Amino acid sequence: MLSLEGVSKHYSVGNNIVKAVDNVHLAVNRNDFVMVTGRSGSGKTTLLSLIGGLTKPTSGRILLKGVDISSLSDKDLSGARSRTIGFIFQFPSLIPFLRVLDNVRLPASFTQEKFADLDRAKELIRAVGLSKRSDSYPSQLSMGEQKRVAIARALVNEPEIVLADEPTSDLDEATEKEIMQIIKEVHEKSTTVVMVTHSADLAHYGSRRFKMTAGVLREV
Amino acid sequence: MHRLRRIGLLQIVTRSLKASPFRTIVTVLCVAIVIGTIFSTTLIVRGADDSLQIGILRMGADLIVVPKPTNPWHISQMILGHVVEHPYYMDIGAVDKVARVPGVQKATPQAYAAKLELVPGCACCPTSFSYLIGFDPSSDLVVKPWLKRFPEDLRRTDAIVGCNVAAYGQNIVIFDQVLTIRGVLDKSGTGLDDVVFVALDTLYWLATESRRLALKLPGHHVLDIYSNQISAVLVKVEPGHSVADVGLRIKLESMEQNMDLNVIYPQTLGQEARQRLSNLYDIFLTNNSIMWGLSVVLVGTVFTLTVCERHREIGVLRAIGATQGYIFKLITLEVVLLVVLGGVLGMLGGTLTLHLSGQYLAKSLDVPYLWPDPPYVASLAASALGLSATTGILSALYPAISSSRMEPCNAIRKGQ
Repeated sequence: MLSLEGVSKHYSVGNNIVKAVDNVHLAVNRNDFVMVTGRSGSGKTTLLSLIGGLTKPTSGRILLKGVDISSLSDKDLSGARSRTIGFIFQFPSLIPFLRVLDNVRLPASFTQEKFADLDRAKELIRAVGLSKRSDSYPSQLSMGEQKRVAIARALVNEPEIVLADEPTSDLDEATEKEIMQIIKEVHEKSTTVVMVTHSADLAHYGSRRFKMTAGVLREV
Repeated sequence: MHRLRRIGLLQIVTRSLKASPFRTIVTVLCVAIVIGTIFSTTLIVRGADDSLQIGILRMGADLIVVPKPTNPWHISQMILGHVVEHPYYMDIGAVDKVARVPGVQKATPQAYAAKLELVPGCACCPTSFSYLIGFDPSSDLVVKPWLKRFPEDLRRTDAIVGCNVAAYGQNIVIFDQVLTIRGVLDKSGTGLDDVVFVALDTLYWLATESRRLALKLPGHHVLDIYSNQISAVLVKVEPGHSVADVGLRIKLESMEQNMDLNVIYPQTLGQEARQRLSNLYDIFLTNNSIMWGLSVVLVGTVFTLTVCERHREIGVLRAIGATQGYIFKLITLEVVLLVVLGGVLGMLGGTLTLHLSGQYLAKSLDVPYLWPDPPYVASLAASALGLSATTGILSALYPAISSSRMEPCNAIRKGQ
């Protein structure tokens, strides 16, 4: 499904080189739930960005369904992101001037389909418990509700892999559990999930657990 | 399964614009002012030029023969609507002499009398006009061509007027005498719109009446013209003859006969006004170019800042599948929509301003003015729209290129 072969991402900060991701080897199989934990600044978000093709590796190869994503054109890579990958971000990522329903069906605009599946968008909103907030704007939602909408948006194109970056940060314990339950259900519907979090308490949700320290990934 | 048309680029752009009303209104207003100014100043210059052309055409002659002290300035002042005294007259016999010059097809006399300051409280000349022009209806080549129906039976108490003076069939009172309007000339935008044309005999009669009134009301304005005096002979040159040659022949003939005449070539009329127009055009062009350049920079800066604020949004769009081209189109379309909207509002505002105060503006710029013909206005509006779109595209280039080329990961990080 997904494999990283000696992937590194280095940044220059002044005269220093920061190794955000250092020589990572990882093979993710279909329906894996990969949980990567690590402290802030350990390179988890950069790793997820590399997997999602949001940034290019300094060295190494990332193969998505056997294709090196570095070799893809912008159009093909964007197509892969809209069809194959669903992103859940750490920060509030909804488009502020679109209502909940429009935010959820937005990724469908980037596919070749002329029409978005309204039933699926509504079903996803219902699944994350926000049926009554379909017409609300993001600013009218709580942080937890925004996260749930972001999950629904990530799933609207039925991606094969979901990349979740600290999806429970800034949430209270009850909301955190609700969000993790939704992600768990997504995984149970045979979607591959790669999630990064600083919270070791959430590690047990993963079928495979990794720890990241100073850019180095280690299976635990 | 319900299918819903996917969210289009235009839909996203319009919602984004609605979500930032302050930015939208300020950008639209800025562009409206720039495009409106460019549009209306171009219309003023064109309107002034058209008006001047019509004024000169209305003189209707290939040559204007005047007494020596008269120079083209006197005639051009009349076209521009400036009332100046025209004290130089010659005997009407000059018409026959000019008509006999080889190459002259037709010669017709005119006499100009300016309406100067009235005595305060004078009720005998309530009609507002600038000049009384006496002409010979039988040989006329100036007034006839501009009237659909020329009143061949023009009586002593009849007048033909410029469109600002009175309406057809109305009576006007000049020096206590009632004249009936038998013809109204189309608008020219020049001083000729304020002129009263009467038969030469009528002019002499009114001059006599003005002198009679002055006896009753000391200080009352007097038309200082007497029977058989004229101001100019307007000449139509026979086809096949050179205007310059005929003009030269008239000059030589007048010298031989000690008539002391000067020949004015109508093409030279309005040179002063043309020069003023040309200077005005240069000033407008410079100012408008600077304003336009600044508007491109201003709108570009506003959107560069806007894009900076929206880095995260752009990063997210890229992450969920938007291509670089999509982001480029998104930003460009936002700018172009705003700028074109501003352009349209500017043109409407400019048009309204000119309709309401075009004459006043032209007067303060000291140029004649006539609303340009509709095809020209339409083509100018199309050009202004094109300029608006160009402004939008140029303003959008930097923010659109820089944001679309940004790595999604960087865009998200910069937005946090």
